[in-house]
Amino acid sequence: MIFLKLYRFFMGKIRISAQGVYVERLLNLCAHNGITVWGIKNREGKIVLWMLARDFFRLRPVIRGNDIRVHILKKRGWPFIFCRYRHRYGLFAGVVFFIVSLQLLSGFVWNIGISGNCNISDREILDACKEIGVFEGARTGKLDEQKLRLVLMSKVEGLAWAAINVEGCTVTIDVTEAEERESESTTPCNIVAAKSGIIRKIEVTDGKKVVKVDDFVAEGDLLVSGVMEYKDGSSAFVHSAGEIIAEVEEIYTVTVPLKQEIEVLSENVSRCYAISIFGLKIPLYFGDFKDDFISSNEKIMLKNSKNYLPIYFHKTGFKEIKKEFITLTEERAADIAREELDSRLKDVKIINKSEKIVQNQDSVSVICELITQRDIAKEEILLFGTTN
Amino acid sequence: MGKINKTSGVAGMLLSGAHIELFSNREAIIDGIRGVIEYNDCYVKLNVGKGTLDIFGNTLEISSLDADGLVISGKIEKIEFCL
Repeated sequence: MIFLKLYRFFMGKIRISAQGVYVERLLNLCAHNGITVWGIKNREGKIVLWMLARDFFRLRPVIRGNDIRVHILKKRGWPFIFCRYRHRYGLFAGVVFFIVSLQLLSGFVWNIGISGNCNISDREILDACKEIGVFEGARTGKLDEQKLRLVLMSKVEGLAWAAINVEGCTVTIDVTEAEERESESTTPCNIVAAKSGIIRKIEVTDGKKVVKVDDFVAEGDLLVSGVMEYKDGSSAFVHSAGEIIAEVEEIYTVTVPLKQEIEVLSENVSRCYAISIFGLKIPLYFGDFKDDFISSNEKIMLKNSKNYLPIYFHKTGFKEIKKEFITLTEERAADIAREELDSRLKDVKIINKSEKIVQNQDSVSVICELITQRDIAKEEILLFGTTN
Repeated sequence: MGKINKTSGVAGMLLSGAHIELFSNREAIIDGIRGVIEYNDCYVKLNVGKGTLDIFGNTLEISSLDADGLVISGKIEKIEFCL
């Protein structure tokens, strides 16, 4: 029924009123001449009915000489609408422009969706996609999905599998990340001392230890050998591993100048906006901000139910940086030096500590003499065929 | 077709006469009519060849009319064959 209504709308239909001596004759004439009529009603001796606009021209010769008068009551359908607006060229130009735009824009990538990634960020994948030619605004017809997925896998580290699916104007990138495995090095190596000290604890998981607890070792001394010798006279090279804890004497010096130049951000913030369509960034401001300004960017991406649209708003805030000179007190300078020292020794077990503050003309130095316990094991690869 | 029309029995009668389908008393689809003799809101008289078919009712409307038949909708109260 809907198709019949659509057909009648596009062909154009008219409502006519017929009156005469024997008006039923009109119905029979229509039926015999192949003119389909519908919606026939009798209104006070007049017959009112619908027919296709093209059939109305066939009706006139049929009813001629039958004393039936016909009047058009209504005109409906596409031909009459077209006729009404036929001089509105702008409207037709708009329709043509709309169709052409729709056809042209449907050939480009509008949005890119990424799924399946956990550790690898969307941004990293999108950047790689851009390099290989998959970006908002790219022609969809030129995208070779099978070839591009291989290139993408080689571009992004940590991808085990990738698929690029182009569905209309949407590109969906499905990825599977490779599982991370701890790399176990099997390269034969020795363990040597990274610092001089007295050994307090030895835990060797692989290799042959050549020192014992309470031995004093100098920097570079062999602690664990990667050459294993067995009772039957055979030998093997292994990757030595272990933890050698030693007491180490260390001296740290931190100097803080009393006069310092610091950067202060001004309270005034200048905000600038830009719009990005298909990767083309259009600034909505004049001028430029270069040195002595710090900027904070915010990217507002438009999203439909699932994917991002290729239209972004960029909001950038600029704050002026002012340079100021300040003079620190000696106590404050010493505190700053201590804080820095603490941050350096954060992971170190301290056995003994002695601190000395030296005041210079324009700076304060904190000299710290420490006895610490730390792991001094350092891997040294065995080089065969050399003098090592 | 002429051969079939000449055949005797029920089949021949069905093919040569009018074919009427009723949907309750709201709509009637009638094929094989020769023409409309009279039509108003409460009465439709049709030529079915060997007589007339009179349909009585209220707010009767011919929903569709073409060379093959017509569709009458409205409140149909009575149908009569006048041979």
